[in-house]
Amino acid sequence: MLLKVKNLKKSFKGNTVLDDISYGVEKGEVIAILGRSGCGKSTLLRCINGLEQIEGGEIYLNETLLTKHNAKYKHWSEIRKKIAMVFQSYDLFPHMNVLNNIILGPMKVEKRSKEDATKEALQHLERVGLLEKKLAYPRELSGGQKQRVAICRALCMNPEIILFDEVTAALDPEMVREVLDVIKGLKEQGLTMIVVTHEMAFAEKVADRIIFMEAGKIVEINTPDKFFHSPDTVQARRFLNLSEG
Amino acid sequence: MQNLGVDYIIKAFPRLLDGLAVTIKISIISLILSIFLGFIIGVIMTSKNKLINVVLRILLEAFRLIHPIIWLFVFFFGVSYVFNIQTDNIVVSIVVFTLWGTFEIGDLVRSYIESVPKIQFESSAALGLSKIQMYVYVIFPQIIIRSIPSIVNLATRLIKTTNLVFLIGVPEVLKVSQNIIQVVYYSNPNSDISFTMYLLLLFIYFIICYPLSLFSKYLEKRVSVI
Repeated sequence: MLLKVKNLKKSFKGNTVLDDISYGVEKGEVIAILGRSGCGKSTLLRCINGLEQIEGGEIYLNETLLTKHNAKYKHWSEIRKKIAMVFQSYDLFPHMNVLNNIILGPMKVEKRSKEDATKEALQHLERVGLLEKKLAYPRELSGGQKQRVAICRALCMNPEIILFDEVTAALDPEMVREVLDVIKGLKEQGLTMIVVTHEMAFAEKVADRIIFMEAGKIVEINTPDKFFHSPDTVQARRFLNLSEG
Repeated sequence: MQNLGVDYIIKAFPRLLDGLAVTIKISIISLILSIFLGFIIGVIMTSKNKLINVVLRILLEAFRLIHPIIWLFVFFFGVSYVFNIQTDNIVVSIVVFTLWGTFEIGDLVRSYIESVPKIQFESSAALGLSKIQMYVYVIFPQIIIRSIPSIVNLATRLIKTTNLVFLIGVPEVLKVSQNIIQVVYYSNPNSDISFTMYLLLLFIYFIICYPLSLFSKYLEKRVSVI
């Protein structure tokens, strides 16, 4: 089991945001986390790479305990080399061109040489079809292009698992497709990914398992096939607008 | 023409330049130190620690509200009295102006840091960057551009206010020019040298401050659009 989450609890200003969350992710698996806005799916993702502090429970990566009570920033910096994250928007650094955005992490965090990092960066850029934009600045790119660059940036760190936090939510519909295609390609390469998304068709096609959340709890975990056509729980049916019963 | 005292000014020009050098030296050193320390203080000011915030806020207001003259006197005479040492008036000048500039820039930097989208901090962190790397490579570059106009504004105010250091005995350019005028008056009571001298000084200050503002506009244009 690559990632194991046990009894995660998190509150924010007295409200329970995550209530006893437990699940596991195998290597090479793609998990889609679905649910209404505010159900806690983004928070769950952000707990995995330490952007949110948890109040209870444990997270294990490769059997090593990640979460530490009152962990300092430095503790998570090490872990984030192995767990990458792509955000919804505004995550590229606007003052750097595309190439520099991608090689900053490998050079400064992993101490790789500029040539080495650049070579890999260009490979990733080519694979997503943005090689000719390598010297462009983020402001010159469309939303879909920016997100594809953000994915390249995450890939260049060679993480064990990539987290996607509603990466297509801020995009115009025609750009959603190009980003989802990239993620599909990553699945074919065998990358382990956890995707929080609203794109149901995408989740059905790409995910190995669906985790459905409601009000901070995991309500159902199922294969896409079963989840979308004959889910186990009433809440899932309601969410998917299927007839009840 | 003789009454305008031009030949006296020409003869005394080296002294004027010395005075100008002192003014510029104090201003530049204070400015550079202020920028460097100001950014550090700015980051510290974003800390959530209430005690640190209160202390820094008090210091900020102290140096902003109380006129530099008072600080010059407090440091120059006060330190000498309390610690029984001879204070160097140029060092004191630099210390006072640096403190003033540091807190002004610090407050500015703090507000700019708070205006950077939170995602920038999070995606830097998610990349594995250390806090220092995050500030040096991601946050500060985005702020520096925005802070250039205010820093240049501080620089010009610094250059103008440096004049006050004559009160603790530093031979800066305005004081030197007054000395020259008084010497000429002693032998030539009808001289209009003060007119010429202040015209010259106006010109000198303009030559120093205008390029600064042009430089600031150039920098803004070069790195705009962020």
